[in-house]
Amino acid sequence: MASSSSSLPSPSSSSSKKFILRSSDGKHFEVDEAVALQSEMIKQMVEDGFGGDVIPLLNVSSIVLSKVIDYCKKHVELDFKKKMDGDNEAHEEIKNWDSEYINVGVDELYHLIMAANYLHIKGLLDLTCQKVADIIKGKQPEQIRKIFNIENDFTPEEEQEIRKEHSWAFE
Amino acid sequence: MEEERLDLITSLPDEILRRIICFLPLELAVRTSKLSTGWRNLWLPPQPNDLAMTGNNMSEEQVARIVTNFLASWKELEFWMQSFRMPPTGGNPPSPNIKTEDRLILSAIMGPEKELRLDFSNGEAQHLPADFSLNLELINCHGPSPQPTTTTAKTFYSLKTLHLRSASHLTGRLLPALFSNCQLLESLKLVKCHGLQSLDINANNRLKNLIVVNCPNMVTLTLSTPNLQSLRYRGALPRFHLKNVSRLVDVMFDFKDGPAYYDFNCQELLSLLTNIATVQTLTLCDWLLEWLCVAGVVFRYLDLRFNNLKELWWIGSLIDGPKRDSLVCFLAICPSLERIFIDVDQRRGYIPTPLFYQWWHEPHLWMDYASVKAGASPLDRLKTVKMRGITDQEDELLLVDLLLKQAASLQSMTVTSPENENQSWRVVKVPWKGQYSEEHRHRKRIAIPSAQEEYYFEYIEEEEESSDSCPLHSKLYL
Repeated sequence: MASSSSSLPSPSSSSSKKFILRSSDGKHFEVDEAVALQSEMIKQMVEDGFGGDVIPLLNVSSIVLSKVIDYCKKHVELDFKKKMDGDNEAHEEIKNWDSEYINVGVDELYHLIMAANYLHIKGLLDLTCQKVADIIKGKQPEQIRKIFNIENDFTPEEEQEIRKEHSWAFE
Repeated sequence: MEEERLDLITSLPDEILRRIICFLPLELAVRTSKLSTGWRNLWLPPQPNDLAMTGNNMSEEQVARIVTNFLASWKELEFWMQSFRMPPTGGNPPSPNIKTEDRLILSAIMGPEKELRLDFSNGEAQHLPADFSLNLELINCHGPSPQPTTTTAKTFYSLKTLHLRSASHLTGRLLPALFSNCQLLESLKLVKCHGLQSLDINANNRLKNLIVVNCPNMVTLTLSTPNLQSLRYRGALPRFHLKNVSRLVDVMFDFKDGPAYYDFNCQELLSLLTNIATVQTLTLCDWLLEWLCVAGVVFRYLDLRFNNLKELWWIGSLIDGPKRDSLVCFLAICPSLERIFIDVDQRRGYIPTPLFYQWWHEPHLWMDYASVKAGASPLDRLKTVKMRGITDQEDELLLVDLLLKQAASLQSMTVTSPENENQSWRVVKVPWKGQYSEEHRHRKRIAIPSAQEEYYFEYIEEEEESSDSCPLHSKLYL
């Protein structure tokens, strides 16, 4: 993971503290404090007085972690920009960047959701969940099942029952 | 590598799946219950409330107060669902044969996108519903309402979508107090409100969509809705009083149950059509145009023109001579029409045409097809024609023939027969040269000679029906 070569002044210049994150497969990632603290879980650890050099993230593989760090870096950068340039422009940039970022396959989406949930990164969790919802929107149940590989394990009677229970939604 | 794909999404923790569902509109959220057993109850709020009342013989006021308080318990949750039960109506002692189960009075579901759906009395129609009126003032009131229901009204202030089903005279009286303060309301839907006789809506600029479906006792409908864009009505023809509806784009008037009053009045109906003359999409039902024509309206002599109308849906129970001819006459005042959908469904009720004592008919309504054809106006912009469910082939062919002749720039005409709804046929006119053309050998086709013998119609099997291009406009709650 190359460190960010952003032309902007480092948003976290006030503190040059670095964190090292270790993925489940043993790879190390050095990130700025502000980037690491995007994760509520890490923040909590730090507040609780975690003193080690390396933060082990047992549930996140290096592939997923590097993608998550991309997200955190960009959002630290954009949050900083938002403070400097005012809301509207940065808001638009965040939106565009997010929609590009989340344009991934279903499996990757799943791993990102799990990582965002584990690390407590609310923005990323919302973004990924919204993406799944967007995939669901405008599709028939059969299409949705196909995309996510969901097996229809209802009996015909159960299907009928569901249809009856909330008939208004299926009209 | 042969790898079995896993259902990763369903394996996510329930709280995450709920979060996903919270990003869906209510209706789609409910539909996820159909995906698999794992999804079945996910959309349900973790603790749906079910209030059961005790004690018989409550007065209407008591009921009103309880229901109002009940709805006021709504909090700013993403999903919220409550149902409200009452013992069987008091008064007569319940028959010992009938199990005294509580009646479900009301179920309320709130979606995350500021949607509220209220279903009263479990959708069961009462035998003799008492009439009631509903007057919703969705505009800025001067000062707070003096009613004690202010807190409830405040609760629903942010609603964008309101869906009311099976409101009755009892519950209907609560609605104005509950929802008059909904100044952000964009969509309102009323379904199966038995006994609702008069609906009067006075809205601000927010209200864009209004759907009123199958409220069988409706007699008058009064709208002052300056920004209303879509109006869909299905049921008996009520008296419309449209005061401020100049922004309408899409109108459905499906008066499938005939007129709701006896003195059918052409002028009234024509002024209704004049009120909506700026629409781009219009749905009309079969008997309406026929009655107008038979009662003496000659469309092309009117000042009325649907100059913006691009898409016309004609839905009916059958096509016969008068229905076909009245439709053709109506097309004369739709100069910009690009798409026509003719949808015949035999399950719809047939509305017989009464006797009208008027003399100035379109002359051809009892003359021959040739004069209808001769009198038809050109449809220069017509590009798409879709017909579905016509049972009589002769009527279908006459209509096909006429539209092919009038529409010089037609791009596609497809026909779907009632026997096989999944198979549609493209129709073309081919000049007769002594034998049928040999083209399209790889597809199934049927040649049908026309009466004139100068050409024949060829029905070519469409490879795949693209159902997307043909929204099921007419199927809504039929």
